Amino acid sequence: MIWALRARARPGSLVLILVPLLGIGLLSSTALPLPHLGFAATRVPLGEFLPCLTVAGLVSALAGGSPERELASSRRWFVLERLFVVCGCTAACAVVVLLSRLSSSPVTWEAVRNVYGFCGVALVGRALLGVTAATAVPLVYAIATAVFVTPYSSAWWGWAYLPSATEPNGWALAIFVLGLGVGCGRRVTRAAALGVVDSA
Amino acid sequence: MRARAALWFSGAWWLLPVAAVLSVLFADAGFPADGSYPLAGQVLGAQSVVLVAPVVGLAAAWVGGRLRSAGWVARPTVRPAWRVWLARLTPVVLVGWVAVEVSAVRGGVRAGGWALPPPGLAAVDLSQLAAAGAIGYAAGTWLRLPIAAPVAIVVPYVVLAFPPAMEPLWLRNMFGINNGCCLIYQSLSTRAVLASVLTGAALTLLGYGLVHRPVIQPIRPPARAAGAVVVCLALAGAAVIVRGMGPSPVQTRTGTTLCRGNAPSVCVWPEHRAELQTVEPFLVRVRTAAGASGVQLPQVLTESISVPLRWPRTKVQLAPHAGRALLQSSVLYSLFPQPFGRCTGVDSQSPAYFYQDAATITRAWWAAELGLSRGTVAEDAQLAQRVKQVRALPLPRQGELIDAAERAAVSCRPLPTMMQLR
Repeated sequence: MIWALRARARPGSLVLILVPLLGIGLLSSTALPLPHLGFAATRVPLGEFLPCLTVAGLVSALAGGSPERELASSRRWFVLERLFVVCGCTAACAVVVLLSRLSSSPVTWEAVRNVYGFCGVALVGRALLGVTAATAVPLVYAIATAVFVTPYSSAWWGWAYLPSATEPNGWALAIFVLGLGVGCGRRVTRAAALGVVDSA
Repeated sequence: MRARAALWFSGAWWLLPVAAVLSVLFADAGFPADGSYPLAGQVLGAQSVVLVAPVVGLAAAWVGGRLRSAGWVARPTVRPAWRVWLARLTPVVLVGWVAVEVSAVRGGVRAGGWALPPPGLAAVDLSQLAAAGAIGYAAGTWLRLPIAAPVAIVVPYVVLAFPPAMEPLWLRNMFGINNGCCLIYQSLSTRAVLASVLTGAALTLLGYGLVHRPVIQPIRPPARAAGAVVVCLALAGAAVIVRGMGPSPVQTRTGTTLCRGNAPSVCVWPEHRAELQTVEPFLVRVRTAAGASGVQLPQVLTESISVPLRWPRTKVQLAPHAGRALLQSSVLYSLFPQPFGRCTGVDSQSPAYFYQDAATITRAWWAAELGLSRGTVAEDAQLAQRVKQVRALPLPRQGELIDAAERAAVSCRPLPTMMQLR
C-alpha cells in the first residue's frame, strides 16, 4: 500500500495539485476573461476554473503506479484507486477552505464543488480515453463549457460556473458526475490481470 | 515522403480537424462592430487563436512526450539541437496557423470582403502559436504526458485569455490582438503588432531554452545567459513599444477615401461605397436648401480622421447597411461644427451646454427645412416652438441665425437670444 502511494506521489503531480490550490486560495476572486462564442469574453473567477488543474494533478498521479502488478495483488485496487481520488479531492477541498478563510475569498464553495465535479469528469474521461488523456479532459471540459455556455445561464452542462448559493442544481450535477466517474470504468478481473502479467 | 512522416509523427493529422472546427466555430459566432470592414472581421476571426493555441501546445507536448518516452531526448544527436526542435515543431505550428488564418479570412468574408489577413495579424498569430508549441514541446520533453498535457493546454490558454483583464491597459497589447480592433477609421496598430511579435518570439526562445537535452549536449552557460538576456530584452522592448497605448490595438487609419460632390464634398472609406450612393441625393437637397437660406455649409464631410477636423471640415460616420433615415441623420449631424472636447463644463451656463443647445436647434431646423420625419431628429415641445419661430422669419434671416449658431458652437459661446432654449 505504501509502495503504491509512493509510486503515485510524483513531484510533477504534487506540484500540479498544490500550485492551483494556492491560486484558488489566494487569487480566487480574480476573474479570468474566458473567450465565449458570439459574445464578449465572460469573466470567470479563477476559483471556479483552477480546480480542473488540481484534479488533473490528482488524476495524473494515477498514471504513476504499475497497473499490472497492482491488479495482480490481493487488494482491490479498483476500489482503492477511487478511494484515493475521492480522499485526495477532500484533502484538496480542505486546503481550499482553509486558504479561503485566511484570505476572505468569496468563491470557496464553487471551488469545492468544482473539485468534486471535475474529478468525476476526469474519471469518466479515464474510463473512456485512458489514464494519459484523462488529465486533459477536465481542462477541455472547463474551457469548452466557458466557450459554449454563458456562465450563470443555468444550462445543466455549465454546472461548473453556476453560483453555488442560488443554484443547488450545480451541486447536484457535480455530485452526480463524481458518482458516474467513480462508478464507471472497466473492472479488470484478477485472472485477466494475471494473464497480462504472464504474457508480459 | 518527409512531409508525410512529419505529419504522422507530429500528430498534425489529428490537430488539423480540431483546429479547423474551433476556428470556423469562432469565426462564425461573432460579428464585428463595423459589419462592413473586412479588417474588423479578420481580427475577430483570428481570435480563434485563443482556442487553437492550447491545441497546438497539446500536440507539441505529445510530440515531446513521444521523444521522451522513447528515450530520444536523452541521447545525443548528429543534427544540431535547433534543427531537431524546428523539424518537430514546424508541422504542428503550421497546421494551427493555417487554421487560424482560414478563420481570419472567413471572418473578413463575413464582414464584406475577401482579402488575405494583413501580414501584421498573420505574424502575431504565428508568433503566438510558435510560443504555445515551444512551451508545450518543452513540457513534453521533461514531464510525463499526463502532467505535460494540462500544462501545455493551460499555459498558452491563460497567457492568451488573460490579457483583456490586465492592467495597466497598455500591457494588453503585448499579448496579441485581443479585441477592440477596428472601427472603420482605425487600422491595426503597428506598435501592438511589433510588441506582440516580440513577446511571442521571446516566449518561443524561452521554450527552446527549456527543452530537455542530452547530458553531453547541454546549452553552455554563456549561451544560456545570452538567451536569458535576449528574452528579457525582448519582453522589455515589447513593453516599451506599447507603453502609453490604450486598451485597443488600433491606430488612425490612413489611406485614400472616396470623395463625391462639392461644397460639401462627402468622403467615405471604400467599404462604404454603397452608403455613398444613398447619401449623394440627400446632399443635393441640403445644398439647395443652404443656397436658398444662405447657411454656410462645411466644405468636407469625411470619415477619415487622419487630418485634424476643424470647421469647415467635419466628421461623418455612416453606419453600414443602415436604412436611408439613419444615413440622413448621420449627414445631418455632420453639417454642424464638431468641437471634439473643446466646449466643456457641467452646469447649464457652461460652454458644453451652449454647444449642445446650438447643435440641437440647428439640427431641428435642418430636419424641418428638409422635410425629414419627426423620428429622425429628437424633438420636444420647447424645441419645436423655437424652430417654428425661426422658420417664420424670412429665409435670409433664418440663414443668418443658423450661421450665428454655428459660430457660437465653434467659439463655445451662448446662442443668439432668439434661439436660446433655456
